[in-house]
Amino acid sequence: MHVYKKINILSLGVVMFLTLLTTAGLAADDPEARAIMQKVEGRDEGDHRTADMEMILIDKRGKQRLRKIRSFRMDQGADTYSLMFFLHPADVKDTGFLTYDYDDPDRDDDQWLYLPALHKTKRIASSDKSGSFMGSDLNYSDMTSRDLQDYDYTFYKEKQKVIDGHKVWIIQSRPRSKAVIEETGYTKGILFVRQDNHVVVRSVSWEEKAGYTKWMQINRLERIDGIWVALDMQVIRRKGKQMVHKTILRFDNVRFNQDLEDALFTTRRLEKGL
Amino acid sequence: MIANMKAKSPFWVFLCLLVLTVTWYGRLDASDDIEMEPLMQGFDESGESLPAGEDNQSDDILSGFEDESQSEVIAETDLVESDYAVDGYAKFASAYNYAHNTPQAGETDWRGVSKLKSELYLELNAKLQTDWRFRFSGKGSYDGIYRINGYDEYTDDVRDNYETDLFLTETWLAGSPASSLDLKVGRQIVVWGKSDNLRITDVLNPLDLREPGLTDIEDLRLPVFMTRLDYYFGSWNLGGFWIHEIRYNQNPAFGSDFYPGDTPPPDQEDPDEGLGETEYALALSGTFSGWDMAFYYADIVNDAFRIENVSDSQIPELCLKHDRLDFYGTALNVAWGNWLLKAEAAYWEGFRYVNTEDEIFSRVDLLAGLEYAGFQDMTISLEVANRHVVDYDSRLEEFPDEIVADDTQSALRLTRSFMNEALEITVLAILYGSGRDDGALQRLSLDYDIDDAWRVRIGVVAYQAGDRPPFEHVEDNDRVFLDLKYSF
Repeated sequence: MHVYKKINILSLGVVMFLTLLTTAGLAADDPEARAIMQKVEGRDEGDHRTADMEMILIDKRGKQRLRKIRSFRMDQGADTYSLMFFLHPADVKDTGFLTYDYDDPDRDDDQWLYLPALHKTKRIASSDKSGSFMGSDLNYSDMTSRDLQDYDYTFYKEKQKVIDGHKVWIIQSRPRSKAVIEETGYTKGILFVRQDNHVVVRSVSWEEKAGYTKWMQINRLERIDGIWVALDMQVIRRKGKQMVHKTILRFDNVRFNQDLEDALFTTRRLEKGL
Repeated sequence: MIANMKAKSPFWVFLCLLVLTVTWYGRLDASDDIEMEPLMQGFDESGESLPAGEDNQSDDILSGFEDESQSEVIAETDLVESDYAVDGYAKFASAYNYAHNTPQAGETDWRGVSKLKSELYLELNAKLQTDWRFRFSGKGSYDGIYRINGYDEYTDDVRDNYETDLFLTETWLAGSPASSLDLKVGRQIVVWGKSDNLRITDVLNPLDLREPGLTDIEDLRLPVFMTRLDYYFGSWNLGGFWIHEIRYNQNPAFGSDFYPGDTPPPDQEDPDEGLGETEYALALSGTFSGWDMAFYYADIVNDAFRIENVSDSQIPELCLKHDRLDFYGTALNVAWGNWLLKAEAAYWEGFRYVNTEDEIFSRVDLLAGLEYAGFQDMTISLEVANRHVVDYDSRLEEFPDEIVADDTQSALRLTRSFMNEALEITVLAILYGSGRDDGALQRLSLDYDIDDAWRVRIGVVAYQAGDRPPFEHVEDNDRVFLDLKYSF
């Protein structure tokens, strides 16, 4: 399992595809679209959170693999600390990841990986976030909130729509620099933002690798302790119109405001395990 | 003719590849200008349009969210929370030697299948109470190739060392007697240092060197019984280690194709079975934003042997001895963007050699390494180490010591995952000597997850002979290997 990449805990609000990119050639920033994205960014995602995640990886032939992860997340000022442990499959059980995700865009995140088979905590250096997250169809940039200043936002020509009985805004995003494209792996995107709660319930993103797109949709969205949480979602990666791979993410035991201490987010804890 | 030469020239091949690459890159850039609409065409509508006036355009980007595959999603697997858990794996490992020459009479024929090994590993983990844990684990293996090929084909040493194995691996009790204190007692593995391929400061556990280049990295270190106490303060951790069990490196057995010679080794001095030889070690480790650092001290028995003449007469009588050494080390990691810098340094005191009798030598070991993770799903690392004997004496070059003043080692590792990490390819090259004059090995392996429990590994390892042991006679040992592992 290739894990030498940035791991940032899975924001339950699943920030993923939050700031995907948009078509070039369209007009630059639209203040109204940006205002909506600011509300998306400002949405309460909760703090001191624990959760269990199940990740089902399905290839184009239907072969399935299952990953189970227990995660912990805590805000530390503007920064976010997160810790996760693999529970399944057996050959990676007790593998742990610790991430300090700094709000300062000029500061590299700190990441450590503990591999029980090697009895070693290894520091991970990877500011590139375009690699697959744990073999899923998400990449590491999907797991982090982005700086809205890195993108231009405009409305798609079809400004709004109704999806599953909810009005959504359809917003296009486009990175303002090549560096952001290289870091995230996406060249453009479309976001479907629910108008009542500002959750991105669907998105399409175009990969830097020509011809590949990713389609994310939330299948189950619930309010837990007043915070909107995606409990079931899927991401389909396509080449043209053909599915290449699919990931289903399910969350369980999502709890906020838990009694998480600073000592949990340390390499000491990483090595001790759950 | 010129055209023909050009076609065959590596430069022109490179140029063609460059042009193709640039062209392809141009296509990538051009994709940024693709209009969305054509991409959206052909998708079925699955959303409900807003009333007229709110929704005045009809193209749709909704149905791409639908999954046209017919696969049934597997049921959720409930993991039962328990204070006890038994994990492990069963593994079948095989190897085929393809480079050996026809043996002479009386020699082992190493050609063809050289390993048909079944292995079972069991691990019991128990949570005793808050923050106290217990682990009991063991491993057993049987290699059927010796029975199949006939025991007469092999030396007794080979059969004793490779046919069957049964031993305790990690077996310990661990807990926190105080909030800033961790205690761990039992057979365990402690890894020091920041490097991943070469060992400069990772000195506490002996190694299994019976099959260089073939041993899985998780099996490389041999656990030893020790008491470990860690105190945490701020960003620092001070660890104390009392290593009660003295184990030595496991070397190739006499008669194996990795054994560097035609005669059996001298007898090895057995370690003290009591606590009289207990080793001591200290580690001070700091973890900071962007970098980590550690300082080490150890008073330990050398896991590697030296040869000593223990005879008082004219006829030499050799034995393998393990000296008590003092070790001082430091290790540093610095992360910068996609780069990880690794550096280690060590100073050893207490080496003795046959040719210099009672003279005691020191050694300075240095390592520098770089790791790059900026390519998608790929990591490349390069490490270079040098071990320098202080006040080197030219007599050390002679048999049986065969020690050089500067012993250089380099390792290059490339790991790339494919197919959403179902497949991982690793290339590892280790060179001994400043070129590869002291030997080298290259290993290519492919790990494929058949499903969550089954994994298959295939690979090839190739050796180049060198001037010094253990690479003097290994050039024929190239082999392909196939492992099948079931984890539970």
